[in-house]
Amino acid sequence: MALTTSAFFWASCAAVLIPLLIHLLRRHKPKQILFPPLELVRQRQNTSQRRFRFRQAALLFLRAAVLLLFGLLLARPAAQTGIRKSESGPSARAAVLLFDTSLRMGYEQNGRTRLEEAKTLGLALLDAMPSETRVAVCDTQNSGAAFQIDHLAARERIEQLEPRPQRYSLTESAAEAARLLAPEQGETELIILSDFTAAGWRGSGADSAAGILGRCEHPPRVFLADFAPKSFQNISLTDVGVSVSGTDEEGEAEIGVTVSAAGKGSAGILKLVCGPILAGGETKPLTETFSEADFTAPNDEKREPDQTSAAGTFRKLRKTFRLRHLPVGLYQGTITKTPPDPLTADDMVSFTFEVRPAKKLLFAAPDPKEKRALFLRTAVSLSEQVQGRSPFEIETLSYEQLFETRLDPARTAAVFLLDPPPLSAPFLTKLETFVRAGGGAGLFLGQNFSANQPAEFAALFGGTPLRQVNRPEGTPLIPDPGASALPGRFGAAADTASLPWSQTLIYRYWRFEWNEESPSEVLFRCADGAPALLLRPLGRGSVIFSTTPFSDLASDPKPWNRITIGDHSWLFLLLADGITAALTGREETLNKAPFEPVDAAVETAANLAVVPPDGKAIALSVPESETRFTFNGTGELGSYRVTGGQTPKILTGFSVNPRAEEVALEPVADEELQKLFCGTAVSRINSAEKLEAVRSRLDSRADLYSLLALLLGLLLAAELLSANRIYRDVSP
Amino acid sequence: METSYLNPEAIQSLKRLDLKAKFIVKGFIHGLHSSPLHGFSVEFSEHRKYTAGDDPKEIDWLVYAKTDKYYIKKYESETNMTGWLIVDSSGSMGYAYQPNLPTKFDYAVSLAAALAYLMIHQQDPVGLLTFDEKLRRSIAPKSARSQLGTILSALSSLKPGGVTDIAASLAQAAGVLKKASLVMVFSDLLGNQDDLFRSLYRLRHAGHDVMLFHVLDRAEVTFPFRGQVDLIDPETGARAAADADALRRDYLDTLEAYRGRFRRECAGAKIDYVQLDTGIPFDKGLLEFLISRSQHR
Repeated sequence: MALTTSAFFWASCAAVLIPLLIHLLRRHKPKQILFPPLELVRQRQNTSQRRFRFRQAALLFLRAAVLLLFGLLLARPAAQTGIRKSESGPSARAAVLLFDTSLRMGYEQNGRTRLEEAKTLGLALLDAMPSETRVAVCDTQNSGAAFQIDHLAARERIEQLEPRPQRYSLTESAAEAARLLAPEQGETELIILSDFTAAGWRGSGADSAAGILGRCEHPPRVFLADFAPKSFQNISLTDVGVSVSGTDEEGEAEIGVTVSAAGKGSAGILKLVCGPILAGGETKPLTETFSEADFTAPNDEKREPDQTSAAGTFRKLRKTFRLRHLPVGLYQGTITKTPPDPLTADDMVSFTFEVRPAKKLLFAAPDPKEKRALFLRTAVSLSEQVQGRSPFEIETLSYEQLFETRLDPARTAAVFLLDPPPLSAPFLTKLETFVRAGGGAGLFLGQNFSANQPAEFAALFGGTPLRQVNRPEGTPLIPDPGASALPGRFGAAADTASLPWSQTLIYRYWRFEWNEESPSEVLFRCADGAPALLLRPLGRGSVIFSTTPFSDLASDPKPWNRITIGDHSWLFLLLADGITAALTGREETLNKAPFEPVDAAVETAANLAVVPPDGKAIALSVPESETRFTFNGTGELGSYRVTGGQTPKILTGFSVNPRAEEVALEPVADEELQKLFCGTAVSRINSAEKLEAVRSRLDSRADLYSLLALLLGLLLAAELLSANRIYRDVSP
Repeated sequence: METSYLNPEAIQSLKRLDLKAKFIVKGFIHGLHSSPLHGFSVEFSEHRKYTAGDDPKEIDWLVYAKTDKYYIKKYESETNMTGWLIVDSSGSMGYAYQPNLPTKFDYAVSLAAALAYLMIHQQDPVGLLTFDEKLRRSIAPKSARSQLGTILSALSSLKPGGVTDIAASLAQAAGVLKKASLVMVFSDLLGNQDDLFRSLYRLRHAGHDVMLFHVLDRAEVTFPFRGQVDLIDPETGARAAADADALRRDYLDTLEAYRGRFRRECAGAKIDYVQLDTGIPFDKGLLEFLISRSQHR
């Protein structure tokens, strides 16, 4: 017999001392009493004393037994049956219960979700474990689980589990569990309670889990409790995307959502509700743009292969809503599917978008200015069009024209200075004012530049030019190895394993003496270590600074680099996309996946707070001088709002929707699981019969509990009778 | 006179034994609603002519109806039924556990005094014997009113003490009492039962009517003690340590068997056995006495 919470048992053992002590303490000095009929007393004295002592001892025993049994019941005794014995193995010294708490586990069948079923079995398994077994409860929400000897704490942990957006894949969580079990000596168990969908087992960590389990001196026994129903039906809304284009006064938004059908084909209606965010935070529904779209999930046979998933059993289609004549402002809304289905988490998606007036991008280049600006200008246009954003109004100027042009952040988003000549102090001052007011300035130095610059240059760009450096053999442009991640949309360019950055050679660049007091962020370097592309936030705007130009002509005999030309010049598109996004402040994607960080610009950082869907505002600690914020707490689905300012108002917002794989119900193949647990014995409980078999074995614990409860009742009755008899006899 | 004076606790507050006896008897009579004192122990003797000065209520109206003459009834006292009060004055009789209740001895003396009062008012001769391990004091029976004072004085002066030998004392009394009498024994009867019965049978065989007033303390019939006790016999100083809670049931059973044997043996020997304890009102003893007297008339 094992005890779930042995503390109660030991406490009851201690409590047994109470009646014993009372019994012993009652033995006080006898009272002397005159009593003439002493002979009558003596006749039965010995017999009655013996009987009374026996009764007292019996009552003492009964009371001790009642206390002991009561403690035993609270300790929830469990017979050594259940999985362990059924698998002919000894009791595990340590066990990890890994719960899949992804949104999929909210799939409801017969009035209970998969997670509820998993929790029921998990609790039963926990109760069946010996009290000395160290248990860890892991889930796909949290990492860093630890073993607990107190099964009550583990029990509470299980009871608190809820379907939530998945932070870690099951493979990552399994790897975490394997890491926990690896140092353990003796028998260990890993029990995974999931619906075993294919998507849940993809992602990083698979090799890690297999490797860790394989290296274990005592590989754990792995039990996979499968809660996937044999048949299922679900229509999910995922991958919401918004494309906004606008003029000075109003804009147009195209909102697309992917409808995926799993299981039997089904039809339904999508309903979109959207409106501008008002000052109070409410959304005013755009009744004139209220839209509905019906859809019918087609049968498998009629679908084209390219519209199915890898398994060929899931069908997808894309539905688009178009909202026109939208005034400038922030918009949030939802697309809801009716009728609802057993998995409700994907029956609605939220979205956020912002309609802004179109702005200018000014390109300044030496003659021939159109040709010099061609590469960057084309790359910016292309990237903006690919991203579905409103095309900027692009204007190319000579430097004489630029110096005369008034720079107004309300009209101009950014200025690109391609191979600039020496810059004058008044222009640099004007440019700094423009940047601090929210504009962007891109400086791409080339042969026209001079090392003799006024002090304003260093103030604006954070460094003083020293000299040109020649690298005749060429040095590749590479993402800064010291940066863990590149900001904004530069992130896509950071994959050095996949992208051939080694082919983007730089032959000449400017060397600088950098200002240590206000350093810029180095995004890219030359392979020789010299900074090549730097980002410098300044006021409400940003400065991008390149030590080599992007304006060389293809015909130049001695080009400064081969970034814009050559076989791998398409990489320049990544750079141009990142540069434009950083300078125009439009890199924010306002529709996020769970746990995806939000990095966005705001007018002011004063009193900055994020209001999640549940309305409980989270204050952000951002210096007031900052114009950007980063938020990582996107674990809740729905629309968030960002407020700030001296008189708090809504500054921006974003929406969080489940990833498509988190609501995909396609089951994982046994072969895939075997790969994950290669070399480890795996028992998959994938049928209701097996689950019932496990449960029935576990029911022996319940029988023991009932038996003990009955025994306790009998003991209490016996104690009552015995006490009544004794105290009735002793009542004068 | 209030019947509350039949309560031993109330009588206990009276110091003078004559008052106790009077209060007990008067209270008892008040409860009966008719007087046992008049014409109870006397028999009709003759009629004689009514003469001036006679009490008119003694006129026999049946004779007047037949003869049209006034005759009064004359009664003759019964002189061959002498009462003997035999009171145990041993040390055990001086026991009282609860201070608000009389000792067994006080209870016995009060009851004996009341009976003496009753009998002397009926003009029955009453005598007194006291004993512990043997007979100690003897007062010859007389029916004179002054006898009551003599008996009460003797009873008042008694102090319980010494060891008991009731069997020997009664045997000795049987030798002393020559004339068939009404023998009223007041004792806690603690001693060898077999010997005691032999003495009682001897009294009966001598032609005496025997009334056995078995007086015990309230604590002796309820055993109210709790916990560990060291019980001490006041006469012998013998001790018995026991758990009172454990002993109670068995002691009470033993006592009941002890008194049960008295009931059975006395019934067989036509001895009136009156079971009393110091918490019982005195009227029970008096009533038993009257019933016994009427049966033996």
